[in-house]
Amino acid sequence: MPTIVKMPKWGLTMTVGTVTGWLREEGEEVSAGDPLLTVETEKAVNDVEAPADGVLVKIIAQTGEEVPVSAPVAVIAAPGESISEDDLAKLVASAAPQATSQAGTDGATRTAPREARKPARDASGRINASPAARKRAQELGIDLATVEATGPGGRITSDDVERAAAERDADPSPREERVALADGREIFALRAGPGNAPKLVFLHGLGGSISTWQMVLGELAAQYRLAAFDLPGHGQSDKRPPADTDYSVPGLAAAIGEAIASLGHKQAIVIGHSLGGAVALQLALSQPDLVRGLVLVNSAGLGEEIAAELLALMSGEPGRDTARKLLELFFADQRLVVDRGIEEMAQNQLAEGAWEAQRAVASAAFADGRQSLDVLQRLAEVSVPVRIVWGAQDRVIPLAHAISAAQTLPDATLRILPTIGHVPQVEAASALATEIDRFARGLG
Amino acid sequence: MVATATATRQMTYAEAINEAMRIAMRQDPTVVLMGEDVAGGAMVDHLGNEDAWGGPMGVTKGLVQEFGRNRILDTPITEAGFIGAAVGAAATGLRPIAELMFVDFFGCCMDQIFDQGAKLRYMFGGKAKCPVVIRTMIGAGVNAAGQHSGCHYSVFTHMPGIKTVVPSTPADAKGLLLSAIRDDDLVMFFENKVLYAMKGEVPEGDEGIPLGKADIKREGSDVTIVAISRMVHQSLAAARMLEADGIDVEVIDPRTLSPLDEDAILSSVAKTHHLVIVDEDNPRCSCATDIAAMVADKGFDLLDAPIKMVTAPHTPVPFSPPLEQAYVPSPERIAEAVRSIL
Repeated sequence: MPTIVKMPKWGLTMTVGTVTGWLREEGEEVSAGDPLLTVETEKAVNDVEAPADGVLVKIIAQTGEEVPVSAPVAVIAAPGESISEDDLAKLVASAAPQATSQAGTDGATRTAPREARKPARDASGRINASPAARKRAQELGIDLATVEATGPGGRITSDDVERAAAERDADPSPREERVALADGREIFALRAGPGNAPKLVFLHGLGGSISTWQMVLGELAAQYRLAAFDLPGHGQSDKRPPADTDYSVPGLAAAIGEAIASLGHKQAIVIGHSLGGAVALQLALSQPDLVRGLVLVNSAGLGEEIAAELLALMSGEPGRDTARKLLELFFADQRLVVDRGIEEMAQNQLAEGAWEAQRAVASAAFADGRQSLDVLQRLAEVSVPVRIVWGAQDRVIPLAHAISAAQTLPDATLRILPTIGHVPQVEAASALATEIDRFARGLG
Repeated sequence: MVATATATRQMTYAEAINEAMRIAMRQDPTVVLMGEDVAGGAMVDHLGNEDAWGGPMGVTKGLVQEFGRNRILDTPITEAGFIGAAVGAAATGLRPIAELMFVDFFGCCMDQIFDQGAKLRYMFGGKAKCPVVIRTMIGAGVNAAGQHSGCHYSVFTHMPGIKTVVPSTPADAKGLLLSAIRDDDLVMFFENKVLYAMKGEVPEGDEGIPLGKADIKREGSDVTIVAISRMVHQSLAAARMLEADGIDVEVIDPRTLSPLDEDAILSSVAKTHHLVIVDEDNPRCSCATDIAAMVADKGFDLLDAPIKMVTAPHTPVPFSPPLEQAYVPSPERIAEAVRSIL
């Protein structure tokens, strides 16, 4: 039985990848796990590994070709198997991805009070929009050029902007956004899921990014409205110098709270991992109207201990070596420390301003080798329901924190994942997604 | 609004004004009324105690019989004289009500109003006050020609030191006049002559309506109409016409122009994002332009359309009945203005 090698989907938003080189040739024997080719996406270059043992009988996508996610790039014949050219052609044809209809093009109903049309523009190209429409568009992050006008003379009204925002928010397809804060910083967000579904917010840990959640997001995007954020100084969010930026946990929570409010994503269940859990706790304390509940995943903010090894690595040099050591510390199963993950984390650290910002976050949160967080003293004040999920093999934050917090927090339940390390969203994505789903359903 | 049910009685706008004066005069012996024909010659010995008109429209009818000629004073046809007397009496301890028969006559007594009464408190460093009410008739629509039909409340609203009151219903007329009489500043109280015969439910008792508090005469979500005096009723008629087209109009009656309830107007525009101002006064430097400027300044980001003003033209009131009818903003013109911005 031949195996089709397909263009992988690395992340919720990846739609195509470009083949940048083949590492093996047609006719060569390959083993499962061998790097076969390199693929470039908008964000990174990575290897695609052979999914099975056998012979690389056919390279379908040549170097330089852009290939949609899930489309075939190669065929591997099982050891000893021979395939005719005809069969190969049929196999390739049948493996092509089915065209799917674009969401929102049919069946969508909209009730405009008048005939909607393109907004009028004056000679200089300025769009005719009412003052109220301009203000609302700014608040909601709507580009007036994309709004259909129903006002007299082709003027965009505030209702038109509201309608455009509602349509945008109802669009379940994943979308990346940059949310502008009042101080000019931009927070990178990934949103997906049906607009009317219960809301979830995802906050990654120190040195992480949205991509840590990719597998969990994929499992929940059909039933929930998701918003995952890169914390300030991380991923694709702005990384201002620490001298003029508040990188403390309360500072991060204020920025994320503003971004949540700006997206109209209030009353969300906030899922926070590690340091992101401390940010989630802070948010529940300082802006409780934003938070419906908390899921704290191997979270900071629940006790004082923190691995000295983590802090030592954070005070070293950024790059692949530090990234690899961090991942070795994070994962219980060392097979998860793969090149792709190391490369991604290294890129995250090496982005301009990132390492300084992330070190500022670490030194603000973990002064003197301990978790020095205000939230520690205020756990009894957390008024929303909390689900604690903990990989018991965590070598960064001890399981004891989860157990004591489950007592201290007024409304908390605990789920322990016995064989998992510090990063359940990667090590046990399905189990974590199930926990989040159960918790959300329990809140109704 | 008010939790306790207040007993009401049906009466006309003129009767409500009469009742307010009667209540105030019963409660406060310093309240006096003076003006041309306010007693109508009644209670004069050689004329006998005949029923008299009580002003040209009968608004003060019966007051002289209850309060006597010392408190209800017929004056010569000398606006400068009796308005000046009222301002002086106010400065020295009385609470006079002076009746300036038609507002169009204000030129005869403007020094007494503007340069004396309105500035009294200011010129004496707050040690003097001027609790006078000048009641006056406004409005076109009764073929009284150009010298008896103007509105001109805009002129007085422009001037610091004067409060300007423009009641549109019997209940507002009574409550606002009670507050005006009790107020320690010069108040111009503009009675629209077309409304005198209008009937409405009026609360019993002596409760005043605070000056500076607008009233929502009709709640709606699509467009705010700010309408002054009789224009409230023209606007309510326009709202009924527009309702048939599915347009939901909110009608705000500011009730007083100075002070102006800016918050009420802005919060209505915040809801509807559309504003039409309906004013029977002349359009230049008017209350309509004042309200439009205020909203453009403080509520720019609330607006989805230009502010529209429906006003009289920039002319005196014509005597010709068809022209006079065309002069006053009609429900049709108001509805057209609303449609033009939606």
